[in-house]
Amino acid sequence: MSDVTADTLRYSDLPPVMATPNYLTHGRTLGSWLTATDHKRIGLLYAFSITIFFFIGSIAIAIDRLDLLTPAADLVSDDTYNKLFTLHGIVMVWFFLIPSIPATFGNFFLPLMIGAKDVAFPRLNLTSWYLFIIGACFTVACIVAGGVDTGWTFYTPYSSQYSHSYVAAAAAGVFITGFSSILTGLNFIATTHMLRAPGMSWFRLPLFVWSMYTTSAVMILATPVLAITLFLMTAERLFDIPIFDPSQGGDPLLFQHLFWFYSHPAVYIMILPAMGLISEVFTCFARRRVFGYAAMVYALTAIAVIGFFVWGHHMFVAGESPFANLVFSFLSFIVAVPSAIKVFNWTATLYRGQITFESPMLYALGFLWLFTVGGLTGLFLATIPIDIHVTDTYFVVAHFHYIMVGGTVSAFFAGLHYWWPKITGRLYHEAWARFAALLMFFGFNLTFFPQFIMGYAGMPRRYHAYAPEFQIFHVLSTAGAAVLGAAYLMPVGYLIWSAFYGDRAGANPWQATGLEWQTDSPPPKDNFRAPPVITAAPYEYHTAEEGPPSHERGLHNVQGTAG
Amino acid sequence: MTSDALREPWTDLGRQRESSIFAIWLFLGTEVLFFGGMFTSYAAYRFLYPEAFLAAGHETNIYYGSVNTLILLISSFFMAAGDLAARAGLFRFARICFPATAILGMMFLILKGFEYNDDLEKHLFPGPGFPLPEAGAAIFWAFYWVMTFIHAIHLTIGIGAVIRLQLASRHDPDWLKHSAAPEVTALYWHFVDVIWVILFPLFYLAGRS
Amino acid sequence: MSAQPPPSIRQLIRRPLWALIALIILVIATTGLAFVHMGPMNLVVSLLIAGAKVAIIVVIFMELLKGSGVQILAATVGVFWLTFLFLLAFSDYLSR
Repeated sequence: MSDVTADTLRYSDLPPVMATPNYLTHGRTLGSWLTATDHKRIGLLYAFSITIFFFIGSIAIAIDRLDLLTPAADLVSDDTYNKLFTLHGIVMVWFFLIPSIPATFGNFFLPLMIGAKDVAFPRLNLTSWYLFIIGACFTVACIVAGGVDTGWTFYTPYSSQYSHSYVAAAAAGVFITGFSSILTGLNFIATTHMLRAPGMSWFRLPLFVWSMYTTSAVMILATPVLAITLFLMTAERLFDIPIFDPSQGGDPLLFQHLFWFYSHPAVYIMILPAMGLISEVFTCFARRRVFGYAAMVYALTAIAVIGFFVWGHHMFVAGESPFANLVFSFLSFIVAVPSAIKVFNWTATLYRGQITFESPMLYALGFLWLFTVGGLTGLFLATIPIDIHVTDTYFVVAHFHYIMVGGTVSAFFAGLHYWWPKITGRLYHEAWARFAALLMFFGFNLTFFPQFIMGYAGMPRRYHAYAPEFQIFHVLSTAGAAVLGAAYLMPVGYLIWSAFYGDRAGANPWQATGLEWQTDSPPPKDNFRAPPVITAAPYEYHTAEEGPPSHERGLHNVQGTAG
Repeated sequence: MTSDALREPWTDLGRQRESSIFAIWLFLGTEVLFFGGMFTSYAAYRFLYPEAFLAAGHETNIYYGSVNTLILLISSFFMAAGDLAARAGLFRFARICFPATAILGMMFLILKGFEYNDDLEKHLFPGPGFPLPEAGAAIFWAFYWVMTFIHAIHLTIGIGAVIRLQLASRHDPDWLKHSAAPEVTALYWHFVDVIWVILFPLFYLAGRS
Repeated sequence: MSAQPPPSIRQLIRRPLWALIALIILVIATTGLAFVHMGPMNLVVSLLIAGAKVAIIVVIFMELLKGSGVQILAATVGVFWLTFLFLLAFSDYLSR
């Protein structure tokens, strides 16, 4: 295959051979993309699709946010307001956040990081993308037809008996997309078990791979329950049969039990990949081995498992028994322990590191701050008396946006900037990227921090006419949203520019140790020029105690060689 | 010898087969939770309305139910035999077992259709004219319709998969040995059978005594 | 490929056939017992027999125990997670 025979050479020592086409130039027609089974191309197909949905969901909530500038309901009608926040929720949860990191970076980098040629079932992988698109078509059809007004949670009996909007179409979209995520999870688990390169033992896996593995486990164990719950709800709505209908003896709380059995772990589907990704970025830009690698792995696993035991904290005021409330409250405190372990370990990784503030690192540091605020306010909400006080207020809205947007979206952008040179082979404009990262952090806090205060003061969520004393907070929040919107648009500009006009990146612009950096940028279709062999643990930066600073040493100890 | 059964990114058939079997077991695990949501709901309502569930269970047709159980179990036997035969290289026998499996599956669906028709004539679809007065009886029947319907959908997919085995091995019976498809199909088929074995006591045996 | 001659059909189907006979006996038994008045025990007995049938199908037809450890893990994890759903949902229903 490769004409290079000296197996002692590191990839970076090799002359740049441009003879073999990379995955982007392997086929140039639209058809070659739509029938691609290459995991890297499928990752980009997802990236393209979820970007569209990200902007659909953002526009929906931007209109609602503008409406909230004044206490009166003056911009949109009540119905439209409800439909817009429902659209925002459904699109952002199922068509952006759930697939965000796993389906894009997971697809692209999981095989690369374990030294595999592709995922275990490439055609199944493409099928997942098509299922996602079919589900997306249902959702778009639902929006075009007139939208849905139930809130993203589809609570019965409103959704199944009373709503006059397109509930069935929206539920069908989510149902089908659910199978896309199940199949992706299945594929990732099989890949991690079956296709690791020689020498890649479980405790040599990069933490991003571990996070993909645990996320996939949550996907395949939780999503089927969501699918059947939405199926039952839709069956009740379409065929008028009693399943959750309280007027015929049904129990609406049963719907909530089943729904949150998926939807609480779904939060971990969003945040676990972010945690793995952030570990990669911190270790690279602090030039330091991840502190407590094994503890990080166990914490990921513990979060994935315990995350299934806490769903009842969404139902504290819904009529759940006091005993169940106690059980779920206690278990919710437990799940904070492994999350805290991760925060402490990231901090310890940074401690005495030789930190440089490239844009991925700025996004990652933003993540650390915002995730900590989001996680700690989660503890407030796990405490039953406080939860009763702030249920269905903006406090809850602010809490989960700190986790999902401050956490997951920050991490998504960290990953985008960290891996962009590998994906495209080009470097973006660093100054613009740093500016966007800082702007995103400030815009985010300006948007959501006031929501903690007004929520605690009693501003309920999902209302668009409100008492005038809350106006100052809403004005701050809307102003922050405008800043945030600008910060999201900037990368679209400079990243697209860089894809065509940016400087060539080289194989390893960050001098990182991971296997994905030991091949061309962009990688060839089969990922490596020769099957890689793994010779070291991940993250062997700065292994000697004494010596010159890291920027004088070049590459430390890479994880393996492709040759 | 190895032929078209080997697919990217695998380099040997054994590893590929192992991965396929692993993946189908994982998929069946997701199916356990898919049906599990309904089993949990059934359990919750049976706990809330024990008497109504017994009265409602009395109205199901045990003749159709038990005959269909036997049909499915026999089909599973043929499926198991066909899979073992394919792996052992007894292709002629395997290609007798697969159609037998598919035909038994279709018999199940036909009987199920007659049963649904009977149920509808007795107005047992919840709605106007539903004969049972107890609160909760209509919920039992709602779950009867939804769960047996979803089971029938799964069985239909299974019949399609078995027919595919027969068609794909038409020119090249050797494929049956190299591909993991017979084993994967068999595992799925047996799983659909397992679901029915659990549905049978829940819907047909409740309230008989 | 292998040196051994293929087994005869009779050898091949012996185990599945015995399993089928056992399953048919269990179906007849559970249907008959359903008509015997045992109160709440009717449910318990019918579910136990269903469990036995499932065990026969999983062990003999699906050959689970012949699989690798990771296959057994994949097969049991779904059932394991379902018990979480049952236990925690019933922590509510049993204490309302």
